[in-house]
Amino acid sequence: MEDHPHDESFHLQEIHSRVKELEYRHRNCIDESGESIPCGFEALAQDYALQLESKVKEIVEDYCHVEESEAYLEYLRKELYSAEAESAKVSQEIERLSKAHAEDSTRLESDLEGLLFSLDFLSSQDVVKSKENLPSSSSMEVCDVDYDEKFKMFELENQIEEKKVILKSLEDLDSVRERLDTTEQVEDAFTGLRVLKFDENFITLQLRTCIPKLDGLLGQHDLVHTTEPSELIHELLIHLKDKTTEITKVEMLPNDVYIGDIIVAADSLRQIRLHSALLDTRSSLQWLVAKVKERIISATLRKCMAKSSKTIRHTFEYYDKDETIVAHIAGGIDAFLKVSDGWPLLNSPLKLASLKNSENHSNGISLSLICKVEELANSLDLQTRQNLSSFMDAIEKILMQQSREQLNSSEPSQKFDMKEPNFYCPITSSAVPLLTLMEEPIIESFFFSPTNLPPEMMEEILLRLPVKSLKRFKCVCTSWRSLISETLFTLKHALMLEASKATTYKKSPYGVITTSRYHLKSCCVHSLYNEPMANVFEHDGELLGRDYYQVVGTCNGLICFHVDYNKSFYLWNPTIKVQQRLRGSDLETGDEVVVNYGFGYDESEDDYKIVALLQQRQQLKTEAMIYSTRQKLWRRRSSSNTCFPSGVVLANKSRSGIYINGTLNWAATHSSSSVSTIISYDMSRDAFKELHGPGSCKRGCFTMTLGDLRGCLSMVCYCKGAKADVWVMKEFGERDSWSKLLSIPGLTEFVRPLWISRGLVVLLEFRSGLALYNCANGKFQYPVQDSLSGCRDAKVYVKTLVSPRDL
Amino acid sequence: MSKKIIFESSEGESFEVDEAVALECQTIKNMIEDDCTDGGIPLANVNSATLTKVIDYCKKHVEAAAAAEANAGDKDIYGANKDIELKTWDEEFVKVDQPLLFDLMLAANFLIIPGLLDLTCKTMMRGKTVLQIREIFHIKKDYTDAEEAEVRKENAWAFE
Repeated sequence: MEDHPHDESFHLQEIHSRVKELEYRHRNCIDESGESIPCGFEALAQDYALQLESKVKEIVEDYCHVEESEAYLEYLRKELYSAEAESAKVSQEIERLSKAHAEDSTRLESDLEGLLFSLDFLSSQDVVKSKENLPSSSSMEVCDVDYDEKFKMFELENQIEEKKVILKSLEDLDSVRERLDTTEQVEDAFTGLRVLKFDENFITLQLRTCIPKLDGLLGQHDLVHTTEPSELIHELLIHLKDKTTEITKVEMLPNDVYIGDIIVAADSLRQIRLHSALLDTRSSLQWLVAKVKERIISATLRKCMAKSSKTIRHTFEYYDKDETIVAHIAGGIDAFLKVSDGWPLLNSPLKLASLKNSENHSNGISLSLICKVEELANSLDLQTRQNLSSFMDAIEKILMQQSREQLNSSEPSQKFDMKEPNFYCPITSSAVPLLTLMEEPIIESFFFSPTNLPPEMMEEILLRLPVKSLKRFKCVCTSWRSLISETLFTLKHALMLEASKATTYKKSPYGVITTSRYHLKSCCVHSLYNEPMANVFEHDGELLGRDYYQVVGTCNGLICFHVDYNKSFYLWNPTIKVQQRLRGSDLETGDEVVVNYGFGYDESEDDYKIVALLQQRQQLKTEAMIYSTRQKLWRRRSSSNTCFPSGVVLANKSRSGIYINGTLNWAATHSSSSVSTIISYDMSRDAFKELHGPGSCKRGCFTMTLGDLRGCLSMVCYCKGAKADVWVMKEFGERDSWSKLLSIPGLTEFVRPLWISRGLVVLLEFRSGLALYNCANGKFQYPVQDSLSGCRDAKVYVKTLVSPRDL
Repeated sequence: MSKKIIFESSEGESFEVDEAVALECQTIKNMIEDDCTDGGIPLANVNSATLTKVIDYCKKHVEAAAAAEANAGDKDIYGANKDIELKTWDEEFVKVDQPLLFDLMLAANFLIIPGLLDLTCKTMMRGKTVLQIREIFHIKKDYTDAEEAEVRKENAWAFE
């Protein structure tokens, strides 16, 4: 195979050279034939002619002497004819030959061409082939094979060694396993713990618990012999977090003992360990198992005790979740006995935690009676308190005595004659003393502790509390304090308030902020409605002292105000009493400019913004400036977005914009037609647009006032000097959702509704202060509070935890 | 006749309720929508006493909603509200002992009954002092006296 191409190429070369030679020759032939054939032909003809001449001369010489000219001429003619015929024959022959020659040469040419072509093809193939074959030339190959084999050998040796190591470790492992198996058997016999299954993410343990016999226990006598099993078998399925020993879930079969708190404790134990950089996480599992076992023993024993201590008058139930035994006393009283650690195995005493009437009795037991009985019962001697039945007997005795005493002491006052005796307690079957317990509101007994309350539940509870309670509960513990201070918690809390607007109970989370002369005052909406003398707070002291306060707007519980005309702005949350001066918020404007402000929240940029509308006096052009609390600077609006519509003048009455649904709204009029309109600025889109007012109110009303009425845009129209109509836009931006809420007759000047109660009592702001108007009977209560008279710019705010310092 | 839903308490007791009442619980509503309520819904972490109360609450609120709808043809958030009676009923409803209140709260959280969750949470915390809260939730005070005084001072107005 290897030699063949060489051989072939050799042949080829030979053929090639020969063909070349042939070609060369052929070419020569053509050249030669092109010249020589006609030459030869001429020479031949000349030869013949010379021969003819000489022959003619010869004949003439021969026949000169002979004067037989005629015969001679005849002879000459004959001779000439034959010569002519011969020459014609020759020329024919030449023609035939030259034809054949031409044919042959063309055939030769085409053959040559074919040969050359195939030669080229062959040689090109040959080049490719020779290239392919070049690396695997025979001598190299031999070397390679040698090397490969050596390498393979080496590899195999390595593998063998590896395998040997593995084998050895397997052998080691096997012996370890054997040893472990035996130790496990031993352990199992000692501890009752067996691993049934072990996977990456869960362990199944079999837990065999021996229950000690009750007979030998100290302090427990007269026990009915029970058929409690001496051994209990539980299966623990422990879920672990991926490839760690972090316990995520523990299930127990049968699930007859409460272990929830142990799991929680184990987890916290693990976390403590993690934080203290001790990586011994294995022991949290050990700890868990030990605790579970302990719990099974104690729970089983306690249940058994509760069962076996049953008498005619008492039945007991043990609730292991709360470590409490409930003793039902015949007659409808339940006593809650707190079980101390170790009972009944250790000599620890029981404790009376509470007493209460069982469910079929609606009235509670008086607090004083419970306190007295508890005090006496828990001061009994240890011996009595260790035994369930003796302790119950004692409690019952005390209860009887105490209730008798209370009955006797209160009888002279005739207090109880008015009330039906609601509680009969047959203490003994023969003598039945009448027990009447005082009717008092149910007291909350705190013994039933929710130790198993999941932490997220705690957050759920806290989220529902008013700000004041939250502030107070910061004192409970450090974790509550940090939770309540979290930004995320604050946000959730604000959202929860927003969502519960419609279903607010009792105390509303709303306040009213208002200014009067040099004061800034606040008051709770709820107390304005319900208390004859509502608490009105003056905030000047905590803020900037006496000054000319001007409220720009409120949003998410924040109040934006400025003190000196057009100077610095402040954000203030009156609920948490935190204020913050806004840096770079000073805005200098000339005297010829009228400024209207608005304050709101831009959701798209998570930024609180102040909007200033600057209107040149005597001109119909209005320009908008925006202050960002994030960037701490004022900027002009970019002209690319929809501008403030020209030819529209803001109404004097609405100095500050009303923040609704992410927009700021001002009342305005078209200067040419004096038609009222609403200019709405979308905070997120940074665009102005006109909103339509209620359709039926157009020409008749001359001014309007905008307001925020429980989250809806409200508008007051003063119709023909006779009444003020209050409209609300139920769905913001929906022109058709305007609906007339109420009509207040006889009002022709400025009024703004601030709040409306479920009982349809409206809180109104007048020029001279606040007033309540009852829609049902058309009556005013005015002014609401003396201290609120002369107030203006009143605004309702929601009580939130949002701090101006966190922005 | 309306469809019935059967609840099963942790004790294994069965409670039959109208579907409309069961729909008050968001969790059950989801289950009904997924059509997996046949053969009863076992509520392993709600005992009979609690379940009875929960069903009472749902029933009452379904009835109240129906009555409100019947009375006020045009429902309006500013319309006259007849729910003062319902509010009073709610207040009476949560006059129970602390353990039951806790169970109600956990059940409301589990079954997702926003109204009941709100009601129980607020009732539990209403008017409680810091000490009482520690006692209720078994929270150990981890402030030093000085620290606590500091936090109290920061939030002094909340203790007024």
